[in-house]
Amino acid sequence: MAQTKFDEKTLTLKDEPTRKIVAQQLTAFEAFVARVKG
Amino acid sequence: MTINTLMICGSLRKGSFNRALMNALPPLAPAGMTLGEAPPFRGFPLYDADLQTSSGFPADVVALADAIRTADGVIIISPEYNYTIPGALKNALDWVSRLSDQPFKNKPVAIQSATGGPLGGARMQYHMRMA
Repeated sequence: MAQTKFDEKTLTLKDEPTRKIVAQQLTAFEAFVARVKG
Repeated sequence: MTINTLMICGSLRKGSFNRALMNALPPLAPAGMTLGEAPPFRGFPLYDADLQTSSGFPADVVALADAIRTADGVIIISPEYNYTIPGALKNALDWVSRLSDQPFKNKPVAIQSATGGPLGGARMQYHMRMA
């Protein structure tokens, strides 16, 4: 649930496992884009 | 090689979890990836083919389309409204998809969502793939 992943006041993504997953997604997307771009 | 990525937030709300997720992305990105927010679509008129015919494409529609075209990839971060894509975002996609030089043609797109519900925006993501 999103409300447990973000700081209530600052809306900073504070949940460390989520941060790691998102970073992995971005790394995978970068590789995919690079492959498409050639 | 630098990968220039455009982020489109489907929520117009300032305190949106999806906007918060979008704001969290740049520091989590790998070194070779840059992330920039798309021009706003808040002011787009409702898509109307008659309006397109009579007045052409609004300047902010062209600005969004140009930003999509020049990006190497696009990340759409969006909530789910009533089991589907938020209306404002769908309207923006409808506008840019009408341009003859399709901005999303051969464009890698990733979809993310942050929700308070157990399905995590899955239905919005499914519909976004169809759109």
